[in-house]
Amino acid sequence: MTSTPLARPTMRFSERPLGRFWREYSQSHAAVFGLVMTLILIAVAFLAPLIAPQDPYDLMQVDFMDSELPPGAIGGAGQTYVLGTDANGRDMLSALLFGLRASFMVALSSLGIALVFGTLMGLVSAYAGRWVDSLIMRIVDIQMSFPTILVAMMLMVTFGRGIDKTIFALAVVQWAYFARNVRASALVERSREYVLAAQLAQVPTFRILWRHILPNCLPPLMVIASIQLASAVSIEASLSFLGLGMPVTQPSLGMLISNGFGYLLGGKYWISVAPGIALGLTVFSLSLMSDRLRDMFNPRLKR
Amino acid sequence: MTPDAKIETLLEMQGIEHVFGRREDWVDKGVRLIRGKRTAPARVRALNGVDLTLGKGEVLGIAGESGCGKSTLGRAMVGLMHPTGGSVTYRGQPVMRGRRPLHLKLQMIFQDSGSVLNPRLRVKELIGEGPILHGLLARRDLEDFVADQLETVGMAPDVMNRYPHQFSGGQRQRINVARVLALRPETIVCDESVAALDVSIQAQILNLFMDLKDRFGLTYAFISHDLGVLRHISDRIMVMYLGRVVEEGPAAEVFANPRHPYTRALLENAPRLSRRNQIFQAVPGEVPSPLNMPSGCAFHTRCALRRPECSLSVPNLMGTGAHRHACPIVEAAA
Ligand SMILES: Nc1ncnc2c1ncn2[C@@H]1O[C@H](COP(=O)(O)OP(=O)(O)O)[C@@H](O)[C@H]1O
Ligand code: SF4
Ligand SMILES: [Mg+2]
Repeated sequence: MTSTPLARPTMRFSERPLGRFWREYSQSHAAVFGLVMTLILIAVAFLAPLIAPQDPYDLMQVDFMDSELPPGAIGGAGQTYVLGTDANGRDMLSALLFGLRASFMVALSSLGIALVFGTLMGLVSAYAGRWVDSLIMRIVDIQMSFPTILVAMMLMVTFGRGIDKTIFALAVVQWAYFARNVRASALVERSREYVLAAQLAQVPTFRILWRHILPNCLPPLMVIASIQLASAVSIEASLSFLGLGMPVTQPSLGMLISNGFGYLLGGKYWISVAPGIALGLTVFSLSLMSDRLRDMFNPRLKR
Repeated sequence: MTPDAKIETLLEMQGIEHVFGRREDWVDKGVRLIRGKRTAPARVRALNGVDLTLGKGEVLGIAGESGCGKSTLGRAMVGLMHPTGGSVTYRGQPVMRGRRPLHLKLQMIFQDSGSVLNPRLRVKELIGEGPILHGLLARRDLEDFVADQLETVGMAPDVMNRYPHQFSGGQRQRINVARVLALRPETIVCDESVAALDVSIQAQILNLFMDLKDRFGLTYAFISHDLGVLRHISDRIMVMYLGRVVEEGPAAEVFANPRHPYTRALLENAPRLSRRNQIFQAVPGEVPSPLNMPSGCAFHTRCALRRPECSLSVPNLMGTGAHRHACPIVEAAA
């Protein structure tokens, strides 16, 4: 083999291979449960058109005569409504799966946009410094000093409901977290010797940012992203619950809950409760999954 | 200034001063007036008028306790930062363009702190990046090139696909040297380049530095708090105290016949290569804070020879020829 013996791996978490990462992550059974649930929920959500008993928004498939049936009831065509039906005779299980899909779609795409934009702003802020940095960070401060849900609501009221507008509003309220975090990591990385060495080697600024600084800022960024996913899902649910978010043609979990709300007192609890439980389970799983990541990256909690 | 007129001067620093800390702008001033504070915010005077020349082929050792401004000086030398005062030129040109270093021929090797090499890049990417960017190397020749570079620093070519964390400190420093050499430098500033290594490895790396110097005709400015290291390799020595040069001269002369009380104290207490790696506390007494520089000769708070007049004015470098020192008291005694 080689004349140079291998040294022990370093202490830095980010440098360890995936295996070590998993070993540490899986020490928490709750976290593994959260991760597995998250993956199942996302898979189920995106496979909704394939696995749902009906397309709840195709009027041809919905039988109005089957409205407000309780869970387990048999429909006019002989089908079983596992979770019952709503006031229009929609199969609640199908509505729920499609709702989950809408929720994840909006949450994930807003997260993606916020991540890319926030990261870009954070990098520019850290590397440009001076007034560019001050300007971007003041905007971040202002953004973060308002309650997230309030900003999102104001945007939705201003621009009206719709998928694209919901995604936009959620991206607007989330990018600042990424920007601030990336800036902090990038400032640390920027003064490390390997970045100074790259400057001495006349590596162009863009390449230093892209190839040297950014990859070393990614691990904490992924933690933030995983934490933000739960928050994106719940903000979207709140908006849609208030009738400010998704359009009626594409209801998410939040809107399903709100649709069934009026029937709660009439004893038709399932119309609201089923999507409510689904939402709760989703946010709970996402939090379990991300809390572990956060703990692992927080050096103060490490032995 | 040049020790030998025939030697070409590569690097020249004149009157270098550096103060860390933001300059007060009008907002700060306003706040200070409102709050009724008398004094401006604390600022660290890291360098207080350093002159230096580096001749081609020379090894200049820069000594001094931790915190005396060596790293700041080193970074200013290679153009990683603008000192707040003075000029730095390399072959007669400024070392910076805008906020970036200008000369590819002027490189720096840092202390191995675990972050001298980008942890996300493989050895071959680390070594090949610069040369490919500068057209010194075609991408398809990368592996051959990297193998050559690794051989130059005494490492096997098959490590090129590994990541930095898979190596020991000494190996990482070799890879770092290979990375710098791949840029075909002429002058290298080494800042505590062996300080983090075990004593036996230190000697190996120092020998490597000296081999490479002969082989490639390199010029070094070698910064170290460790006189044992500098004694090994330097042609010329510069001793710094709190951002000023207190003694400089040919290494053999300074080591054999130190003049400044600070240099003497350092040498009396300097650990030999054999028993180093202890916490460096060569000179008795605390180093004063550069936040609050002592007046006059900055060493007067610790000097055994001090006289009342020592705290009155800053002594200039004196003495004839290349060996000079900044203490009028020993001058009178000599
Ligand atoms: N970025 C910085 N900001 C403020 N003070 C600094 C900074 N870098 C160094 N200093 C201070 O400047 C002085 C000289 O530091 P340095 O050049 O690193 O000394 P050395 O390398 O000799 O140990 C020290 O007092 C140090 O605390
Ligand atoms: S000038 Fe005075 S205080 Fe300074 S080194 Fe000489 S004797 Fe000591
Ligand atoms: Mg230093």
